[in-house]
Amino acid sequence: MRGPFVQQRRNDQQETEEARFLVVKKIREAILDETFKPVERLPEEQVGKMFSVSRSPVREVLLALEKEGTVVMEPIKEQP
Amino acid sequence: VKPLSPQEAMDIADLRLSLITLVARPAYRHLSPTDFDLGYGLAKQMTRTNNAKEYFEYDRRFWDIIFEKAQRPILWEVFRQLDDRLTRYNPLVLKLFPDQATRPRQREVLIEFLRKGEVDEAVRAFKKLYLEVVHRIVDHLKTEDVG
Repeated sequence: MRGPFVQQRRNDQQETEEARFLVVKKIREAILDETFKPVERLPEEQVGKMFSVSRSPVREVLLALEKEGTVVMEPIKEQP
Repeated sequence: VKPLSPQEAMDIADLRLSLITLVARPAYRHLSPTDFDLGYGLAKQMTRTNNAKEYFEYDRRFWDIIFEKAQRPILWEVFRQLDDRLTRYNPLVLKLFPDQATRPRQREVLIEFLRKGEVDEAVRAFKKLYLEVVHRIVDHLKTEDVG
């Protein structure tokens, strides 16, 4: 009985992996064509909308890109 | 997007040069005339293009040929990581060297010397031209920092 659930989970993981790969590729392309310029902010929600993915893979990708040295993650500053 | 810094540009350049120096000889042993033609073609396309995406893609494919033939997977992996980190620098390189006639041809020169079997000279000539590019980038970033 576990078979279909395991398979579904694998498919979900694969989809998430593909979404992440796609977002990394698109962010790199946006940096290369200067849609995203140095010092420019990349709000998760906005990036997600741009590339038609949810915030979750965007956040994971941005964390990976921060590790790589391409972006810097900053907490959202609260308005006074 | 993390701003470009002169120190980062210099550090990446030093590391890339070290890796290229390490793989040049082992790669040379396995590079075929077809590889030279392919690498030279990509190098020429890099000189001709003013599109940063193409420039990045040709550069990746050029070094993939060299690193694959060198059969040094760890060095290849580190080099690719540095390349990914360099994404932000590609548009700047094309802005600083917009003229295809005067753009440094370090990759073409590397292949020209490797074809002749002059590995040390290939690395030396590549390094000289590559550092010209890097110093120009660093100078530009320093000026921006002051501004």
